[in-house]
Amino acid sequence: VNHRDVIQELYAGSYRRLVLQLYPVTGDLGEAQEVVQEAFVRLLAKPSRATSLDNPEAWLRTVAVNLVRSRWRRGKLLQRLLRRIEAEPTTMPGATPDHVALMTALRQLPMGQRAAVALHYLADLPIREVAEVLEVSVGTVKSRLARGRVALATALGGSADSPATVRSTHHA
Amino acid sequence: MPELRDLFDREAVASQINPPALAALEERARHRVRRNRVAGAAVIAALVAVPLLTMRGEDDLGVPPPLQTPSPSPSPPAAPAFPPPLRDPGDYVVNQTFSSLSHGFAVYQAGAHHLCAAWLSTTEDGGSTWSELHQLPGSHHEESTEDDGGCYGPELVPVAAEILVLNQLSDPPTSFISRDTGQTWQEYHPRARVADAVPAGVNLQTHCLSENLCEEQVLSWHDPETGDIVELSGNAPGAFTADVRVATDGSIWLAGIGAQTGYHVSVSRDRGRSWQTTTLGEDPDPTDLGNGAAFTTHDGVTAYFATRGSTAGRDGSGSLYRTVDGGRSWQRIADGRPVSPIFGLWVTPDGSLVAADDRHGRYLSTDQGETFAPADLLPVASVQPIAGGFYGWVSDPDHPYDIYLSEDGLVWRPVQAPSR
Repeated sequence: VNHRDVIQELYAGSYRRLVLQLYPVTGDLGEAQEVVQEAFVRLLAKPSRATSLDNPEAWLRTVAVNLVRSRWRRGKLLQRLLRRIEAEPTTMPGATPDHVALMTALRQLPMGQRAAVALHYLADLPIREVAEVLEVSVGTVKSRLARGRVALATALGGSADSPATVRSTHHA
Repeated sequence: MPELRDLFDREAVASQINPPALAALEERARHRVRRNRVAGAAVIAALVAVPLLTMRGEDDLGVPPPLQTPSPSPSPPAAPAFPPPLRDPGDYVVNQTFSSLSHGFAVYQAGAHHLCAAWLSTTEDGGSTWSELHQLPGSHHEESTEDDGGCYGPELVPVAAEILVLNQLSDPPTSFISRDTGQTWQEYHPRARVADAVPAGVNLQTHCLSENLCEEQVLSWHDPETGDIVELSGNAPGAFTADVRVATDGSIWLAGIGAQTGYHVSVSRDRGRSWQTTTLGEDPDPTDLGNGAAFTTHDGVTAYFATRGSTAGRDGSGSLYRTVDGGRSWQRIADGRPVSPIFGLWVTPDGSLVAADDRHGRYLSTDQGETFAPADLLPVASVQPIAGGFYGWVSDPDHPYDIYLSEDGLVWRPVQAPSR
């Protein structure tokens, strides 16, 4: 098996999808691309993994999410020391106002809630898979989704219990 | 509340995604394999650059040993015993760095058997001998999935002679300080404060202003007495800092890259109270800000800045800039240079300029970058100034050593990694 061919095919087919999934987790497209690229670099450093993994794309996603969490923890340490509060605007050329509002609201969520909401509601991962990626229990994911939904509803000016939102949570 | 996915503008986001060539990632992977395999001279502290303000002649971290011409087979140093339950050096990722020509630190992190634990070995003689391993505090033995980033590596920050700070990124993150070069540690809660100038003899760091994004960084350092974090109040105009250098005249240089600001260089000649910034007329690739430039100066008068253009220079659009008046004006030079893109760039105390590409090519200029000649005998590709000289690391995976030390940036002595 030519591992490089497998990775090349994976890269062509998965890169954009992974970046789209990671973007709401990071809140920044550049950072989303960085972590996805880093995940591919780790795969390329041990290319045989591409054929030994049952689901290489899921592995890449897990690595990328963990990289985001690791970066966030490093930043959190300094922010805790320096008592800084994030207040960054979000920009995306050509995006709808709803998208900008959503990303701004997402970036105000704690990391755990944001990752859960992004992976479940926007990346369409089942709750069980979100729990595996984030290395927490299914109950924790549900709790984070519930709290994140309330926070987003407040930020976006709606109700957390609207049918539209609940509808996308029941395929755990 | 409307369906969240309906608010997410996938089309707009997708239009902004530009995958780099897979070959560029493969090159990064080759460097990664090389570094991890032995003792990648990667920075132990992930707090970006940590160049020492202590300059040559002011070395209070130890007297450097005499350097020798690179030898093909130096005597192997005494390797430390590997801690149980792992006995095989291959079970570890070893990150190694030097704060001076004599003082070095190697952090062994369990990387293959789901252990989130790390050990420290130190050297006081430039890597000729290494200490026994000491387990770092805050190591946790919980299992993690293989190589998925679940184990957060410790950040080791050399603060001053014998003083180390260790940040464990567990949840919650904890900090430890050692005043005996890692023999013993105390958990501590560093305070944060602000200063209007950078004192002499501290290790400069940069850290991100934003908790989640790293588009703007500020200069900071650890107080050598207390371990507190001190942030410079009057920082240079914000951007991602690609490099920090302190010249022999005491000037502080920040080479920055920003998606909005482009490439720019700031210099302070009053210990950071005020800054002079020059923007270089070139737009970086916003997806590769962390890898987009190399900067060097030695005397604070002549300095060089190499941009790598889009996609890490793969399109050959990187440029080399030079100032000969302390950063007041910059000129683009060496259009016919033999190296593109430039990944390593350093200027020696005698004013020679060395450039390294990512394909193992080394080039030396003795006319301030106007012309270059091949200098393939130079073993290193990337160089970091340290007290008393430089340390550098190798990119060629077939090279027998990974780390070298040098007093002058030209004659290099190989360092045997403690895991060999």
